[in-house]
Amino acid sequence: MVDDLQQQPRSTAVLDRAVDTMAVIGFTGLVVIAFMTLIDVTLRYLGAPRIPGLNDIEEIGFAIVVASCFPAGLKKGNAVTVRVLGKVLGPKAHSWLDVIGAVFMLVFFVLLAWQFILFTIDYTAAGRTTSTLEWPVGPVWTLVSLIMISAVGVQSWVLARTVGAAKKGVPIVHETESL
Amino acid sequence: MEPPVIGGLVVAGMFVMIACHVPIGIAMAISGLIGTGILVGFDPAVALLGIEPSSAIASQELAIIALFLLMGNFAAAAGLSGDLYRLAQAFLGHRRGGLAMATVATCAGFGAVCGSSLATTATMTRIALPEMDKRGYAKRLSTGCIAAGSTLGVIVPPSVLLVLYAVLTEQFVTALFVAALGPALIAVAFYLVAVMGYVAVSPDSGPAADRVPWPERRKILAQSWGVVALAIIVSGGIYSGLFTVNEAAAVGAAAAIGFTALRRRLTRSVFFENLKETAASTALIYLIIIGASIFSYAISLSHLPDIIVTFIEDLGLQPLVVILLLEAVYIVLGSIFDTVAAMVITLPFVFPLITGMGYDPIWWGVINVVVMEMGMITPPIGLNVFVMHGMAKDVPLGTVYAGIGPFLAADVARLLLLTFFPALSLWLPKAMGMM
Repeated sequence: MVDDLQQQPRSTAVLDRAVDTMAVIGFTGLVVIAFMTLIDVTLRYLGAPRIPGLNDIEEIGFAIVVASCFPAGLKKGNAVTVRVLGKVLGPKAHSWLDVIGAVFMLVFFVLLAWQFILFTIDYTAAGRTTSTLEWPVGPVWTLVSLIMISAVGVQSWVLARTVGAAKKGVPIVHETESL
Repeated sequence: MEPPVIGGLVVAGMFVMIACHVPIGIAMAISGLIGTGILVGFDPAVALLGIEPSSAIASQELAIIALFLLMGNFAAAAGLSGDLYRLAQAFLGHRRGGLAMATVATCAGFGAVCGSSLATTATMTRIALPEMDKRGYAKRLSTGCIAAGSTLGVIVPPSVLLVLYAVLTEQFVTALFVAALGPALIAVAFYLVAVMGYVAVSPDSGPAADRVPWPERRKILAQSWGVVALAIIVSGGIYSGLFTVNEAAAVGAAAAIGFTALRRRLTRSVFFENLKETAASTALIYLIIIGASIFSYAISLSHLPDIIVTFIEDLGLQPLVVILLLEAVYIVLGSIFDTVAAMVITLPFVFPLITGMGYDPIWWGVINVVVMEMGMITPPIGLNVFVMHGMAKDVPLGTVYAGIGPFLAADVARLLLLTFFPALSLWLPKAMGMM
């Protein structure tokens, strides 16, 4: 029993660290793009040759950057949600309404991951590349798809936790609400 | 079933899901997906779920939002807001209500490097409230000017909400930024007048501090070069045509990180925490954008907006009356909903209506952001008020709402001015050849 109780926070901490690391790596990419743009603008101002294919780097970079924030966003449960009905109906109904929200979120990310995999297969099969540097985009979308699959895993964990809370009749405290 | 009826059911379904704790972005996406499925078949609808999100996450235009969020977070970490407050305090603090005026000026200045109203509220509550408490300011005035002043971040360019409006309605974002400049200056001027009016009626609520001597002012001005430089780099770069908005956002983010490093505040944990913070805000906004794009697609297919436009035209109302009614609705929405969500849910219906009545989409973009901004401090909810109350728990909500009164009156006056005189927003972009 003690082990079970200690196991839960440990797994939570591992998941926290994993999704935070993913977001930090992704957004470090955003910082790199920001500095590359700064250099590019400075070079243009000085009349020097610009960074070749920066547009291509941005095109594929932004996809990875933005995808990397979803697992952390799901883990923190910070999607904008209106929880008035739950507050009116009481804690038990509140916690089960949270389960409905978590199920829809999971369905959405499953569909999203599935479509991204199809996209990746299409891009790879067609040998699609970026316009200037002619880098293959297949590997980039493979990475994006893997991030989306991990988002499905994270949301499954969130759903399991939300169901657990609902069974106890205690809603989870969320960071973001619009009402 | 007729397409407009399906459109109506899509809207109803979305609201039912939102009521059932489904996140707003997901409710829009799922209802839009089902609506599109019924209208054109489920295969194209599911394919839409791949097309819209993949183009959103790879969009260079939308990446501006993540870059501005990054800039705002590092600007706060570098302590630029504190510098700006000290600067405004040095020049305005000796007047009655001077610290409240300094707070308003700081909020506007910080808005130029941050763009988030809630982040500005949190930052200014931490910086300005203790100073005003120390000088014996009435809580009504101190909390009211912070909550109201923080809304300036939404209208002072570069604004995340203006970028979003530009992307969703396919408008030129620089033209929107330029159009918002005049209204932003009017907002600052009206808020300063509101503070003056407040202390004229209640002189003890904002006692004057000692005048800061000029050598000291010059010293503070020299110390505040960072925030001035960042504002000049970003705004100056955009308006002079030196940068595109994408480049300005990227350069601003890099400069903000550079300032944090120069001030020896860029530790590993500060760097990582700010990246995590930016990632969390980005996820939140992108989920809504993705949902909105799928929802908008279904609504366009259903021709529901056309029916609404025809219905309102048939009512025979004056276009100005329709505009005033829409403004009232938006203020209520902004007081209840997240501003981003409220804007993206309503745009598929409201935008065709506005353009159908012959109004300029750039002008409406400014008005839309102004009314959403007002909603953020309008009772009974007002998100800024709640953020402020969350950070200053000893101040009752009623006190904050009472303090907001004069600022809300200033907002109403400004809104009417901008509504009746669209040239206040449009003359500058027209003069600069952007329209």
